[in-house]
Amino acid sequence: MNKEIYINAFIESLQIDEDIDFEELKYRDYSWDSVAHMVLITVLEDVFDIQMDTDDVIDFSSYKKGIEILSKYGIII
Amino acid sequence: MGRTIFISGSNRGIGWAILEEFSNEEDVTIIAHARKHSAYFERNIEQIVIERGCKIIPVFFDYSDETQLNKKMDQILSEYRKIDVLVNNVGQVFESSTFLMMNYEKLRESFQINFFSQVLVTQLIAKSMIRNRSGSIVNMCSMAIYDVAAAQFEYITSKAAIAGMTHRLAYELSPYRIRCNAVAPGLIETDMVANMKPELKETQVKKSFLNRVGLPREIAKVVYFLSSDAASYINGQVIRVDGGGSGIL
Repeated sequence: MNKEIYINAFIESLQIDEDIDFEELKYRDYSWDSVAHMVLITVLEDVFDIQMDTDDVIDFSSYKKGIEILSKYGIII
Repeated sequence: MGRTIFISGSNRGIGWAILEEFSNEEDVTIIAHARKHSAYFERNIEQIVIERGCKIIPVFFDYSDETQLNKKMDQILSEYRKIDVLVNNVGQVFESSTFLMMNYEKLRESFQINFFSQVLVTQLIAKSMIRNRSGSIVNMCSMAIYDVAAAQFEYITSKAAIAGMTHRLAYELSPYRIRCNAVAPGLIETDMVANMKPELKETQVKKSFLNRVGLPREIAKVVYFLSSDAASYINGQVIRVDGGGSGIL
């Protein structure tokens, strides 16, 4: 369930298709620029009801890294 | 559904006038910050709520204490997921001294309250605005950054930082449809000005083309305007509200 929510956050924020390889997705791929990045972060904070530290916002550089970061907030993907 | 407004330093002076101005708006919710509880503040809030039927939530924390600030802002943002307007009004002036005799600790404290903590609060609330793809930030600058004889080094430089912040945030946050502007008040009838030396006050009053001290509500109306759709194409501006003249004469 969390995985679906997590993927949907990327789809919504980056305006990408659901059939891309999310495991390889990283910052600067597709439309993942600094603007989309903040949208992604705020969507994730909203759907998982968390507030990320600024350092984690900066470190959130890929789909995989994001999973690692979310686990710090008790969100297991 | 009405707007939700966060106003820092709203218990007196310009901050209170801003709160009063927003309280006229239909269905508004105002998160009214002050440094500490006071019966006077809570009584005034109660009266406005009865008169105008608005919702006002007083919140208390010290802008000089980042730990307290972060904890309180966490609670506020957990409860209020959508904040439409942020008014960064809080500010502190210390006793005047020359640059060469300035206490360095006072400089740090001035920047902590007048700038760093406001950056922190803005960063946190901006995320709420990004989620909602809209918002308006109004910062409180000062005409002292133009007319440097009027205030001391630490106040002027911290307010100049606010002006820079305003310009940069207008640029960075525009993609999310968030506007950022500032108001630079001249001499306004507040406690801060009441404690000024009479001769300095007189000199400053004479510099204003209108030859008088301004009123808190005259600042509040501009803040309200900047936050509203009536100012939808105004962005990145520092609007001087000083009766004309500061920095020119």
